[in-house]
Amino acid sequence: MSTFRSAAECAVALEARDVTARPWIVTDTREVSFQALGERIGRVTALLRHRGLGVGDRVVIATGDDCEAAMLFVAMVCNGVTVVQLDPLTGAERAQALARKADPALIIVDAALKARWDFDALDRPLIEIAKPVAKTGLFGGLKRAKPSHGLDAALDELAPEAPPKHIPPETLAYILFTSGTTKDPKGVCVSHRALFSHLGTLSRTFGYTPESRILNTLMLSHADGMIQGPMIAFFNAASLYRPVKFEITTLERLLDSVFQLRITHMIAVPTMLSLLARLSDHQEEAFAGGDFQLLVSCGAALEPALWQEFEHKFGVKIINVYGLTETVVGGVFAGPGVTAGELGSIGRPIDCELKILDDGAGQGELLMRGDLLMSGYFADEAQTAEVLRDGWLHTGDIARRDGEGRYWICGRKKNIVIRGGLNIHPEEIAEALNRHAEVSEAVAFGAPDPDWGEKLFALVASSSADEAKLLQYCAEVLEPRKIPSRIMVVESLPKGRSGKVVLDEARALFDRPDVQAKPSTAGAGDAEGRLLDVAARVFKIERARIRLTSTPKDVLGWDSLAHLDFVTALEEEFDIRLAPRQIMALTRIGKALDFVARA
Amino acid sequence: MSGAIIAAAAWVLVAGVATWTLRPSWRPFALIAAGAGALALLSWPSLLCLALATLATYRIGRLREGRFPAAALAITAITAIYLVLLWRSGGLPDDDTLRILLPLGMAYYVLRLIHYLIEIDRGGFRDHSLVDYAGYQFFPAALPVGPIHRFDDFLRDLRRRRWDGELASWGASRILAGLVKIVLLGNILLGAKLAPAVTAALPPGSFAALYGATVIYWLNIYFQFSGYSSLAIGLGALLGFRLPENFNLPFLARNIGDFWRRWHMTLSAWCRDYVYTPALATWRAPFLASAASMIVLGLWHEVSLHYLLWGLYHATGLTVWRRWDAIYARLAPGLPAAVRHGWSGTARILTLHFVMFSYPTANAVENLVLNR
Repeated sequence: MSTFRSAAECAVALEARDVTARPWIVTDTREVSFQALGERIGRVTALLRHRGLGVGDRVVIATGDDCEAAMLFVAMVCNGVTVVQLDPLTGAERAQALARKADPALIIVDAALKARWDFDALDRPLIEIAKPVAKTGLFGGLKRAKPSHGLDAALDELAPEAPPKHIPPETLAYILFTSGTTKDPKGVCVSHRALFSHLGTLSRTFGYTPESRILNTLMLSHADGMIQGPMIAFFNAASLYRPVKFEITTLERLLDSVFQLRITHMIAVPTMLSLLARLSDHQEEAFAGGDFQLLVSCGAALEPALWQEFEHKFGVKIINVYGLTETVVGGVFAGPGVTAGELGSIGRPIDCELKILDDGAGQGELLMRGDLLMSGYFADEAQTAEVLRDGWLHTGDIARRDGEGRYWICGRKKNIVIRGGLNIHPEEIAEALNRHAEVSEAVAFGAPDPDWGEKLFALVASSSADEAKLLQYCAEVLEPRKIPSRIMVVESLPKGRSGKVVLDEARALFDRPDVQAKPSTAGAGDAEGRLLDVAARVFKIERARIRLTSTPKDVLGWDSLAHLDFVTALEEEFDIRLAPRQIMALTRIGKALDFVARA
Repeated sequence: MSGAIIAAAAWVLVAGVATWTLRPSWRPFALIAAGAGALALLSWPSLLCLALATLATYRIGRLREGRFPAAALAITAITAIYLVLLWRSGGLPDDDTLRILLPLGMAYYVLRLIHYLIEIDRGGFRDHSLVDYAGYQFFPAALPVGPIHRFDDFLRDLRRRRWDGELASWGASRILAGLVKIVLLGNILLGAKLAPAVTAALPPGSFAALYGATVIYWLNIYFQFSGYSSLAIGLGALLGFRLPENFNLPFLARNIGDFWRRWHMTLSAWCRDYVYTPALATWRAPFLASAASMIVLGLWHEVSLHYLLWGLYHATGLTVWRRWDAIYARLAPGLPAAVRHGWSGTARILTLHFVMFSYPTANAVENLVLNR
């Protein structure tokens, strides 16, 4: 019998007098105290009972409001209701497919998302999250009117009730659709036992206490965002801070927040560490405010050189977490207090077991076993049987073990691209491209990238489509992070005798110098025109829709990833080198002209 | 006037408390109000002057660079206005008397305005608003007598601002140290006791009397100015900001270059960054660059032949020292340790005397020129 602290015990702990007034989540616009969370859990409990929902029922949640998403997630978990959270950036077709597959008893969704995804067509009980309406007038901004319909209105009508005292440990806490194609999405099912025993592991390993102040800006629709954010804060009665959205232009503000908010723990993916180490100037003492304890790197492999550089530059301790969505978030830890030593190793398992299926050469597929394992893939026995065998999870990673008992990842068996800490299944991209009328066949794959770990390329067989058209199409149907960095159009894909695409040959096509150099369409003298061409190409939008005054707010594809691509493209196009400060100050297309003029 | 000073100090205190107690989004405004209110109480034209300059430089900083040399024109205009006003006012006050002609704090904020325009032209600060920038220009601690802090550092401290008991108690101790330097050491010990005693003891007009007066003058000016800097840094810390140090035991300087890295450090750093380095890059002649830098430093105090000569005197000193240093670096390894230690001590004394005699020397040359 496992001895984890359960959801009910966590919820009861919130009622302790010294906890209630403390913040649970603080974002740039909103603060939720533990008291507010406790009340929300009570009202959601009442709402669920009112609608006849309880342990084992599934509820789909999709909202762009982080505090709302976190409160609903925790409240559902406390009730033993299984949360199926959808990323608000998901394309309509995929969102519909995921919601259908989840077969929920209730959907709680932003009003705007409901319309965009056409969720009325699902014909399921649905509650909208209506935006609070700001009162107009001189002091309108000071007081917000409560909405007359939707989730808030429904909750306001009900008196809080206590959530159940006991939830069977095998109850599913959440289902996370991580991967797989749209036709056949893969939902990772995580039980209360897995979730809460792993929260305990993380808390002990990282030394969380109620005094911890955790900075985690990762997306809540991913395990590292939600579990290592709101959930771990709830588990420890600690505070979570999400002061800014992580972008290249907010790097300095993020570091300022570490100091100002007296952050004790920061959760980051290696891409963030790489950008922070490379672009922040005179910010080295951001972590030296006297409170900082530990930086947790997760989501992708942390390169030894970056690990060392970051620790040296900022004077912080880093613990690297190796794990999969299938293992909640972690399981294997490396860094101070866990493994003395070798940078680049994934370290040692904590509260779980590892085994290597040795191929005879001292390495092989890494298997994991323990309470932290998922229960399986949702409604997919075949896939589950493939990875969960005799209680062991087949990770798809190739590993070896050294004489000291440390584990090292040496390769990947599964076909996956990890870009900036986020897993992308190339099949999903290829599937999306294949749906385009002018594409006869497509393949997508990863290639190494110094900042993002990997970037995504797509090779497409088509006689009429061009890159710009296909990129724009991708921008319409895929989440921004899944749009390929480059799409090359060829007459036919390179194939081996078996008829399978030879990825090495496909990759080699992108290495050709004439492909890397991107000739400009405008004349050399027209800097403005060239700049707009570069921007349109990088941000994957029509040239006519981009202006010198465009900012990341106006340009949909202008996220951190694209920002760095934009800088690289500018440097190539104009043969200049931008300083870190300039890279961060590039908040308007036209600013690049000033940098070009000065270079 | 002293009533107005007390009112202004009280206002800064009240507004300073407000910068910690108001809701976070209002705190930057309290910071601006602290400086602006104090200026308004002391001299409203000064407030108007700084407000206009702040708005204008912020606006110019937002113009698209490269098309029109707005920043260069603005810097020229600011410099010209400052020099004319300074010339009309007859120099910076040596003591704490307040002049009417030169707007309050202008000597210091002129350098901050120029710093802002140059840096923004070089590629920009990180994103900031007019409120951030006005907070910098109106920062009450640095408004009257510096230090000449930089916008980058201010912005970082502003974004990182949090109540820190340690910093605040350190700030309070710096204020106390500043008061001890100004009142106890400067005003009472040196000004009221030692100066009359030395004058009485030494024959009037003699070299000894001149020497004694010069020593006391330099000690007093050091205690006064570093005392005011301490007050500023202490108040800055109470407000949650770390202002740069302005003095670092300048009379222990090993050479004249070292002296300028220890005396009024934020001013000499400003001259290094915005005069010396660009001048050196343009002319590739160290003496000319030093001369330009030291003349600017001199004329900043007062528009006069005296300060022009004073600047040249220091530039000459810097150049001679650099030559000598190159020679000494070759000689030093061959010299016995005792000689090297002896020279090190002598160099400190020579440096101190070179500085002390800058005014008498400039005076003498000025008289020579004017009476020719």
